[in-house]
Amino acid sequence: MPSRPQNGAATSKELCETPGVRSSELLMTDYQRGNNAALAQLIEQHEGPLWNYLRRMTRDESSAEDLLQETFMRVVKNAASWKPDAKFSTWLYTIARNLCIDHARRATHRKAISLDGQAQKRDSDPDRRLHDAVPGSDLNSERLAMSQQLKTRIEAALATLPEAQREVFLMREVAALPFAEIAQAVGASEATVKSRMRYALEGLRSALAGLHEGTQAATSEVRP
Amino acid sequence: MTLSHEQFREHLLGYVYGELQGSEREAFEASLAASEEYRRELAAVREVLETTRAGLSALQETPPARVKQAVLAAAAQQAPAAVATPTNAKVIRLFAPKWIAVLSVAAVVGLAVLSRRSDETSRVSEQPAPRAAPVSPAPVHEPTAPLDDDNEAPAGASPEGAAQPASDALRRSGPGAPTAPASSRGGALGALREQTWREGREALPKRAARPQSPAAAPSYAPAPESAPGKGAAQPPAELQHADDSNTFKRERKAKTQELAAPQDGAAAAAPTRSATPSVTEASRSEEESSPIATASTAEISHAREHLIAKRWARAREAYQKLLRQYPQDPRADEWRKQLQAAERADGAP
Repeated sequence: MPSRPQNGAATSKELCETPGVRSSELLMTDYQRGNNAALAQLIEQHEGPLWNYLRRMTRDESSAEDLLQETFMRVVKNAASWKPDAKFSTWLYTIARNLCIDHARRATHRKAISLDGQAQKRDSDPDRRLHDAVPGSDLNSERLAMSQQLKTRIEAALATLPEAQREVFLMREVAALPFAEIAQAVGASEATVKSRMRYALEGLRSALAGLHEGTQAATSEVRP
Repeated sequence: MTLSHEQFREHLLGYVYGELQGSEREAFEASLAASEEYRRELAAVREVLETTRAGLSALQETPPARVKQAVLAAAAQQAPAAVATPTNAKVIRLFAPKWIAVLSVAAVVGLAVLSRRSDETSRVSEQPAPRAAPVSPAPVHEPTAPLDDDNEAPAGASPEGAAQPASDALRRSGPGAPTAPASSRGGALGALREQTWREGREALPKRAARPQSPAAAPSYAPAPESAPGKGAAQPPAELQHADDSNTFKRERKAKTQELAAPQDGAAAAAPTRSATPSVTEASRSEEESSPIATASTAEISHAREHLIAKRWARAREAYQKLLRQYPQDPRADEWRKQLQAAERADGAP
């Protein structure tokens, strides 16, 4: 089963395989030679999957935006150190992953400093409101309710995964990186990466086990 | 061939994602066909993936456009200066520390050479004008003449000793100098030397006494050539270093100018003091009565160096000085030839 892009756009791998579309490595080489247009194409190729990866890893839109910009800024800053024989996507996601780790450390530190702030943030979390959504007049559509329910459950299921399993799952499913590249990005063996992926799928299966029943319940709440 | 359950689980995700190829794929499919359990496990994985993919599609978001704009703007500012080719970056990383070390060493060597040359130049510039100031201080690297006029040669007999200016007495003096000049041997010249030695000793800055030994002499000061076996006192190393200092050079120059007096022939090299006419007269009479003065090897080689280096003007000056100071030297004819050659090369009339 081939991996599918999750954001509706083609993955970077598919783009590279499309005739007329230059590979990320060629674009990066061009950028190293001073061609800024190549950088623009690189960003176009990778920003969608990378954004969704960061969005799911940080679970916060503003943080994801900061990390997305910082990731590309580091690509710009360290362009000279990139070697053409390395996969650009591996390098890109290695940078992004390291930034996510730093972000998680800072978040943990902030959480330890202020538990009150954490509680307030949870109360103001838009996803939290979705979770406890009060049905409105625009939620009469069963399909929309199902979609919202699915979205909510998937996000909650992903949130329950350990970081190591979540990052592997997202790199595989969102960024469509091969297991070998994921192994390079996370600094583990390919067997370890596959093992983490297996555990992630088992965790998701457990978390989504009652999805159909839950969806039916949510739909019944929406209906008068 | 049927895979074990462990092997099956190892290859399951590779098969699902299409990364399993060749014989491994065939073995996996054969195992699937043979085992209902394996088929159920594969179906469960696919079901979870389909569900999560549907959910992820619902979660799909597009990144803010401002991120791309900000990155491109930043890249436009620092490109292309910040973007170097990997080869260049590698070369720079590889050789940067070495270049720094090499440049540092080159700078030190260059300074040393410049210092040496400027010292030589100052010595040349300190050479007195013809006839006007025939007394010239000996270069630092010149062989030192014996201070004491031993029994083998009378005072002033040795050309080095005769040509020894008061500044050399200064150079030899100091806390490390074990003996005073041989003025105690008597004579007006000896008295003058003692006086000069005392003045120079007082003028010198206080230094920690060091044991005097030839090994302590700097490497650039060659061993005495012109006065071998005369028991010449080697100047203390710290004094030779002090000779390099500008302060000492200025003092030496002033002293030389002060001592300069109209002299001729071999007597020109005698250290005289205009402020003490009686001593000057005495020394002059003593120098006049001295045997033929001969140039030192160092002075000759100094002139020859200029000739070899095609510094014609300096060669002329050096040979003129030799002929002026040592007109009766047996090598004077040779110097005249060299002087004529330098004059021809220099285009002089």
